[in-house]
Amino acid sequence: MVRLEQLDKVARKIWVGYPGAVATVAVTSLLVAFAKSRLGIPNIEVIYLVGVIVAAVAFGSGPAVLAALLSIFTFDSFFSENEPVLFEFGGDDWTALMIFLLTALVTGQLAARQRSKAQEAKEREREASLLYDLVRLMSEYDLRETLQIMAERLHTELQLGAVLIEISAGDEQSATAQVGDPESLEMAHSADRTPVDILAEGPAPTGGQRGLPGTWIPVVLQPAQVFSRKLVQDWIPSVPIPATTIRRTVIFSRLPAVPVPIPILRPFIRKTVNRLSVVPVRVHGQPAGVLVLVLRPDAPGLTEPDARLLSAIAKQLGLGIERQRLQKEATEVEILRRADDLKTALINAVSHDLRTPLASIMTSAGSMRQADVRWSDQELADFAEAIEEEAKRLNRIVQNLLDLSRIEGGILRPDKTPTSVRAAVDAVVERLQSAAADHRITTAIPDNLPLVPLDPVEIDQVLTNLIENAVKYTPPGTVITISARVADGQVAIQVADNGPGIAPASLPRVFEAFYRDPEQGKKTGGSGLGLAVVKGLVEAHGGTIKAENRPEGGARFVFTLPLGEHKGSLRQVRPV
Amino acid sequence: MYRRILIVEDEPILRRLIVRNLTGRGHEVHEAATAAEARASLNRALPDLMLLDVSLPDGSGLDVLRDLQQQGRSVPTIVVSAVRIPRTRLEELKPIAYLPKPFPLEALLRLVAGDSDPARSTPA
Repeated sequence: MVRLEQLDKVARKIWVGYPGAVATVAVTSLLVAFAKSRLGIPNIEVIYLVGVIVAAVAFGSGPAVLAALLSIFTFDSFFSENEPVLFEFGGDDWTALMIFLLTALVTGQLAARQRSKAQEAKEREREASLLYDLVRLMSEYDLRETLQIMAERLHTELQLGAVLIEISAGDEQSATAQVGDPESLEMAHSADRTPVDILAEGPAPTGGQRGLPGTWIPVVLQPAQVFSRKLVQDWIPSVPIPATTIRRTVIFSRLPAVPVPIPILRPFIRKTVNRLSVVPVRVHGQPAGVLVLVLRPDAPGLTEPDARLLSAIAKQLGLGIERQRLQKEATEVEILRRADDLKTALINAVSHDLRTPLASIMTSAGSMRQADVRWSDQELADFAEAIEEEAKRLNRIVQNLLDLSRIEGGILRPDKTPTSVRAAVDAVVERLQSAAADHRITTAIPDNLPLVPLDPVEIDQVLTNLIENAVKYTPPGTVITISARVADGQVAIQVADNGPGIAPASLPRVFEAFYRDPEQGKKTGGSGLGLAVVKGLVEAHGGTIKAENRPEGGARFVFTLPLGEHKGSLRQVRPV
Repeated sequence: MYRRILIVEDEPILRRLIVRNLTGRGHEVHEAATAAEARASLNRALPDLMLLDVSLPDGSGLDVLRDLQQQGRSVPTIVVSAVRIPRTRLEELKPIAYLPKPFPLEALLRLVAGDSDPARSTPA
């Protein structure tokens, strides 16, 4: 049985090919006549052979044979050396006819084979490029964008009226994309009672055999049944595929219901083409969506390579969705695990950092209560001071924890007011004087520095954390210098020291919450909160911060604050 | 009553407070802020009692105690820590007491006075 698509092609060939062949011979004859009479070239009849070859290459074997016959007839009738007599064939004529026919057939076959190879190569190239694009899109774009681009590509490649892609695989993985002319789109959306072709998947490939691309199954829903893509999704797994269709490659459903008695007439009978084709997308064998394809009203229909392409795209889409889902699950597990790590780190930090000052406070208070030792006034004052200092330290840790949770929650909104950087720095340095007694803190703030819009409480916390950090991580005697300058509409504030610097491995991670230098962190007992808070607060102001080692030795932290009032406040707060 | 006491504690404020309380009661107190200083002090002379913090800048106080015991020397030790110490470590090293921070001063003073009752002063 010849497939209808092929017959269709044959029909087109007949309509174009045979008149084409006649025209070719006519043109050749004119050329021969011209060459003979005007140019006086003898034996020019061999040009007819060129005409036959042209007909064979352009229209195929059938028209070429016709061209060969016509050529011999014309040549013999009009250009023979003898008296022109119709159909008076001599031995030479028979030989010429044989050669012409052979040429027509061989050239026609070769040309046809070449054409089909070229066509096949084009289809494979199209399939490969579309699939490659789909894989890339799925890994780089979100689902909706991917579907939209794929819909547009299919619309162009298959020359369709409309393409509608619907995926519904859970809340996160649901999207719709469509492209096409309004009439076709309307059809795609409200396809009640419209006969639909559904592409059922063909059998999988076996060891020695190619898998079959799929089978179009015509579905005509009863008028009472309202077409819905949901229905198609639910229904398609139960569509029985007749055994005969499985053995064959593809039987297209557009065969007319009434059998055409004479096969050769088929090309001339108007086919009933279902304009609506549906390709189900499955994830893990479960319906997860559909590709709805609407043919243009005059389109011949989808071909076998089209079906293979659509089948491959639907498969790839299903796999891509599955992969995205697994990736998301893996990410969620990782997030949970990291949250767990964070919780453990938090518990450790809280247990150590909160209990250490508490131990001093309890010991101080306990000392003051002792009756068996007579404390001097100075000693009593020292106990009270220790309690006060350690309570402040506790408060700072609690403040950092609270700030961090506000930063991570994204609810930090700096309350900016034009502030003198010098005053802010001086206040912090003054307060930290006793805690940094073993270090030397110097400041270098220019007199002409403009007022900077900032939240004084939050920037105080930034400076405090940076200076405390420098004190904590450098040996006694280290000089800590705080300086500021204006550049590019921003003020850059630097806290630098001439200590040992930051280990290169730690440099990229110093602003991570709970990160502590494996060597230094242990010695200093830091909680790994201070710098994370600094970064969050600076960024909430619309600024940036970086940590680096100075070429001349030591570390420096430089943060910027925008001078423009609105610039920072409009910026969205990013969680650390 | 322990006469010579070595205090190994990296927190200067807490260390000073304890030193004050112990010297005020007539003890001879030696100080160490790091594990290295503690080892050096133990090498010079063994105290009658050691008050040992666990989280030290240059290592674990428990390692100092273990090394000392492996040298065949022993000092009655009170382990002090802000983080939980695994029970197995305590059983291995057998300090006379374990004080989790923060602790009441009285608990420490009682232990130092020699009124050692491990059952009462070793909270789980």
